[in-house]
Amino acid sequence: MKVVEIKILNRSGLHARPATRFVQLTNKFKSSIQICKTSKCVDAKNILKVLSLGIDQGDIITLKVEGSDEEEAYKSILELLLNILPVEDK
Amino acid sequence: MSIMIVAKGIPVSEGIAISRIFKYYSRAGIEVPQECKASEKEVEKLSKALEEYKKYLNELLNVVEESERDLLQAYVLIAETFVSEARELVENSNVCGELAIKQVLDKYVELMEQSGSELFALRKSDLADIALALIEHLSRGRVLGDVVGVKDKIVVAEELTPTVFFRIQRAGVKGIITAKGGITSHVAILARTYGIPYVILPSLDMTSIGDDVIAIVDGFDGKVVVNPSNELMEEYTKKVSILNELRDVLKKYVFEKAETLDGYEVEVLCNIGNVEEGRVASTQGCEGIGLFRVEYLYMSSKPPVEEVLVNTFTKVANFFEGKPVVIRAPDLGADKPPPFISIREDNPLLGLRGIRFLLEYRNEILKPFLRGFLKAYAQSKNLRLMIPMVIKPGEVYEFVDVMNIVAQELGISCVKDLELGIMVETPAAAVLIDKFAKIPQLRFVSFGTNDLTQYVLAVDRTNPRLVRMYNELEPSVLRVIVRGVNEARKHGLKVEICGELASKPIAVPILLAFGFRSLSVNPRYIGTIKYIIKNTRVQQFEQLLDAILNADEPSAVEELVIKTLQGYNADLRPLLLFSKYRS
Repeated sequence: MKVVEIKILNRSGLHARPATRFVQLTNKFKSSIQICKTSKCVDAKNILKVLSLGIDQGDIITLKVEGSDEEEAYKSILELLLNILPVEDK
Repeated sequence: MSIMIVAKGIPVSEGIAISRIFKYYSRAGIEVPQECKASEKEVEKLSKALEEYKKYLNELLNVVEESERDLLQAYVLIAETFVSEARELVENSNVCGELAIKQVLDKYVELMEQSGSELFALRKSDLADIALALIEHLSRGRVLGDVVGVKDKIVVAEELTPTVFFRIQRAGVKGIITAKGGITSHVAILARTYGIPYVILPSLDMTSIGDDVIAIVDGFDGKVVVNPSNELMEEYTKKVSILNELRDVLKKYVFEKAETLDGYEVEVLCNIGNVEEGRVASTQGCEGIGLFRVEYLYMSSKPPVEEVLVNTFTKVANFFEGKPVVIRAPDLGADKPPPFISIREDNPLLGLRGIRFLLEYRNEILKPFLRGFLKAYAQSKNLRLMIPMVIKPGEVYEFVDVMNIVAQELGISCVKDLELGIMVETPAAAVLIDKFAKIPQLRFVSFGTNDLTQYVLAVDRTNPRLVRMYNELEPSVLRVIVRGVNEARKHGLKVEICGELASKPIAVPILLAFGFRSLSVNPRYIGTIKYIIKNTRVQQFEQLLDAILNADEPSAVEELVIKTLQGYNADLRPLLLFSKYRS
């Protein structure tokens, strides 16, 4: 299992379009993926649950990825959250 | 015995519909069986329903504008969530798919209520919308077909979601009335795109209106009539036939140059309130932007960052390459207080707003705005800048000082070429135009007739009890305008008008006689306005000026205009689409 703690950098956090992008990506992988904020963890493939966390810019979140393609999933998600979204959604 | 009801609302999408009412209730209370057993193929049925619904959403994705796409993409993900959880319920508790979907919906609605959050501007109605669509696909019309019978009717609803709009649009809806919504909402944009008359009626009480009664939706004046009298029916039937005759004519005029019968060329610009409107305006015959209201950028929890400003201005400038694009510095305060600054005022319309607000918050708001604007201007020289709510030249000098400091910081020297203007919307500015003309930077004035009218008349235009008193054709208002125009022209300032008055066909001949050669109008009226211009003999109206300025009532002004147009057999039909005493 891969676990990582990161800070959300893009302007609108995981609301609106970025949340849609995030969930579209997590759904591409077989691994089970969880996203946690202040110790509350939800299924990262479920958009309503992700939105319900109310993740804003600057929030620290934890990602837990486990499964056959965890390595690839982990890399792609970090790429989206740390590199792609902060540029697209400043 | 039916009683006629006439109500005034907000015109959202032009056009007139006369038809029977179809009351549409959003699916807060979806009716599915309380108990049901899963069939052998229940899971398979669920997957199929999801596939069908996704196919439908994907079709929509192809036809909607970009701004609508995010929402639909979220719909796809939500539908997937619903079905995946419903599948578990079917497998574990052996209920049927419909009930499972309903239970999942209830769970999330409760979650939304508990967290109190507006998930991504998603409302309960959106979730219900998705659940219902899935249930419909599951049951193939067994539970309901909520849009059956919409054909050729006027839909009355509390509120509509974009997907419901598409459903009723496909079912053949003729007109729309809702209690909630906004002129710039998704549904409003869609209604305009599809040419369906739409009025928002905040006072709407759905229980007071019967199903299937005759009603009129007047998307020009924002009027709704239920159980119309014979007289009104006749008037509106006539309007509809005029509209049908004119529709194609007016469309054709959208792209023509506007020249009066006696050869004066008139520039027709447009007013916009966001980038998307700018994009649309650039394809609708607008010869530039006379007013870009940028307040929307300031309506979130923090002011926009520089890049957002630069991008926004640059994008719109690019839509109109080589044509003017007037950015109005944000007119914050009054009815548009930004959420990140709290101001308590007893009388905000006379309070800290416009230039006053900008100078008060010069470091927080004005400087960042000017940085964004000047950076965009350095790339796009067709951008112009306009200052709102000024009452004396001192404010403009102060504004220019700040602008010069910012330009220096940025190393932008072209600021001296910038076309700077003021919005004339206070009586003070209107009577001081000769003084403003002495400001070296100042090149143009643009009359903002909405505020100017309410300040000249001391009539709050949002006060429902004063609806009849707020009229831009009051001779007092016209006198203030004509005086200002004369002064501006005398002193070599370019004169424009961007208030709603310029979008009113009956006012156009008067404005041309005043000397306006640049009108900035609502994009949806561009065809009508150009048509009126091409039917106007300016010299005839110039001879009428004394009579107009000495009229007793706005109605007398209107009659003078109509008589004069009739005098040389001009086409009056576009005027007849608008009611006589507009508010």
